[in-house]
Amino acid sequence: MTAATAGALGPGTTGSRPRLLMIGTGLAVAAGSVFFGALLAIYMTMRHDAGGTTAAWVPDGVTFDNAALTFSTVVTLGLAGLTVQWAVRANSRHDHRAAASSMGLTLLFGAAHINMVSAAVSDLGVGVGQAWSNLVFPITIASLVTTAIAMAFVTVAAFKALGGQTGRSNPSVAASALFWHFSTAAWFAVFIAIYAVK
Amino acid sequence: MTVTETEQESVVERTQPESVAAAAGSLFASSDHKRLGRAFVAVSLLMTAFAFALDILVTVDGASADDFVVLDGDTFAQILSLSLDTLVYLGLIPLLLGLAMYVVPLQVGARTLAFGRAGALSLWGYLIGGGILLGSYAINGGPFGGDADGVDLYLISLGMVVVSLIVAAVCVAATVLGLRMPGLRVRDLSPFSWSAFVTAGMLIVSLPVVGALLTLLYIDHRYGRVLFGGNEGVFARLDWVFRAPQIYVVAIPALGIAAEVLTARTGSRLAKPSTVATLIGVFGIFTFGAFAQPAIVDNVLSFTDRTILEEPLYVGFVGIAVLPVLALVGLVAMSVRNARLSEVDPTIGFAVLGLLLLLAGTAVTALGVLIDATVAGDGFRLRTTSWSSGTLTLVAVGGGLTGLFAAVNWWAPKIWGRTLNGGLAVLQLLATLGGVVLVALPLMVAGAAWDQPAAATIYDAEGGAEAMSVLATVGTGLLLVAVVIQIANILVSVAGGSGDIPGPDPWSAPGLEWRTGSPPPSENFAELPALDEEEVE
Repeated sequence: MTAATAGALGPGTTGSRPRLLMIGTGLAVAAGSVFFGALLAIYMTMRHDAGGTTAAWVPDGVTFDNAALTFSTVVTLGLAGLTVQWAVRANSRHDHRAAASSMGLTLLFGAAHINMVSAAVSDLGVGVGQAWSNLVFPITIASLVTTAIAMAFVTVAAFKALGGQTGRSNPSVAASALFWHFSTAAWFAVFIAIYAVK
Repeated sequence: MTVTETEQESVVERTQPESVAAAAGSLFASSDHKRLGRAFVAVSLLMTAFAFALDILVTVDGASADDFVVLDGDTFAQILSLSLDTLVYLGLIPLLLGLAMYVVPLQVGARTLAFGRAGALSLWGYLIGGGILLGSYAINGGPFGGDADGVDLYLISLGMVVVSLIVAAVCVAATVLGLRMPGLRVRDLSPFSWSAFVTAGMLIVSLPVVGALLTLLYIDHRYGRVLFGGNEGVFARLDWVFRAPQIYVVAIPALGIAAEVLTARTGSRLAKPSTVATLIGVFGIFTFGAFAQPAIVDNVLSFTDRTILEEPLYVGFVGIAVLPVLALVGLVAMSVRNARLSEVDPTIGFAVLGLLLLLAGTAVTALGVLIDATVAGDGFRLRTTSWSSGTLTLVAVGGGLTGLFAAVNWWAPKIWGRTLNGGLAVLQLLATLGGVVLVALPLMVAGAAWDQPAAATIYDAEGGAEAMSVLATVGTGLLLVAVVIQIANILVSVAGGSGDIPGPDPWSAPGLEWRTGSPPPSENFAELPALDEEEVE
């Protein structure tokens, strides 16, 4: 590097910044994915060590509300995925009313999912203090907490959209949608590993 | 020149004494990456010194084969765990993240740290969580603790620290990805910024595994203790962080620091910078060690009880990690081969020492794996002995901490607005070299010659192991002295005002951080500097 070459590319300017919020959300999603990956890896390892069969692993007397869990996973979260993408599309078109409305629906579906899963887990018929439940409860709760965080993120983005911060230069709606999809994927993995395969 | 004079005035203004209350108040309300970085560096240096002080107690007890010298069976295990927690979670990782928080925004031409308020959250989470973590040990908690609530408190507080470090890593990585000045591509990053980015990325994908374990450990310990064996199972589930290959993560920045400092200080140009970046990235990938933990590898046995050939991933990662380090040493040597030094510079000494000790550490660790896989007999494996403790001292302290010492001395003018005392730095360099050698070699010899177990409660092997532990005690004392000298040097040179007040670029070094004041003004650059052609080639 020499002084003569300095300035050859012109003075630096502030210019336009990349979508920092999307980058930060992506990194948070990466960390969260590892978190759930580790939880489920430990769950499956211990299930394998316990014999690897449902009979040997799930305590006697445990009853799964398969209808509620499946409905919540497929229908409720499926609809929430659609509404949050609707919000992204509305946001990119500066339609702040549609964006806020669709995010309101997303929040409604999120609350319904938390409510339905909480009820199903409460009715499992087993308490804490057993190997199975000491794994299943924290993993399930971690997933519900992630959904709650996603709801908080969507709420903030909805208020921003209502305040007029719309368009592609305002990525808060898209970032909240990204985190929402992550929370859905996390629950889907938990549902498959714990409640479907058991 | 007008700009320079203004910067000099700001330097004088910034070095005026500030009351502790005023400083704490301004730090509390600040999301400025310079304040956050300085706070991280200061506290983590204190924590590193505390960790070595605790480690002296551990090695002193190893000097007697008959009985404990200063501790008893329970407190020995707690102090051992506390010293490792303090060194890694409260010392080395925050130190490297603090330096990255300060330097990376300057090197990429950013006016702020990405998500500055999240950065502040990470600092306060680290401080509060770290304080509670130390408090949990004080009430007989922590791993091996006798107080159940204290153990729970330990798990929560360590989780708080881990989350804080993840947030700090996200801020650093997002700064690199999202706040680079226009025209500066990722491939044009300085070696330190790239190594900080790789380190942050590896922390983002490895620390959540610790978080997941802490979540399950807390629930299980709180309700029934049926999965992980109560308080004694806590340490066994978490100690993979202190082992190869995961502990290598604290040494990644040493590669970038050495490449940057050695070429800049000697006025050389880094040979094949894209290859250097690739090597740092490859070494970073090899630091991912979450697969080598008992909770995933095996539910009952510690992974050290498994035969080494059962773990091809472990053998592969640890065995191959030496190669990128070796290649990088070669490239750095090639870069500076024609350089002529006009003066002895302790910063160069730290950079060279860190690089060579990291090379030695990764090499002997790979050698140990090779011996274990080929010639080790029944029931004996080097990695279950103090050989592994010695090799990890070479990597984490010899490579990681020494590299960070180089960074602190190199960027001190930028961080504190003063150059550090060269004489004290030379003393620190000698203490570091002596300390690492006296800790690592005796532990490796004791492990190889007398099967000395790692983390033994009583050194009941042949008499030679006792002598080795005495040497390790002296070495740990020297490492403590090295950290204390670093802290004293900062106090004398900066707070005491004896250090020279530098201009923007006291080392005549390339890099955007040297084109602004020392320390930089608010928002870092009065005007964003132009990029040189060489910086974007």
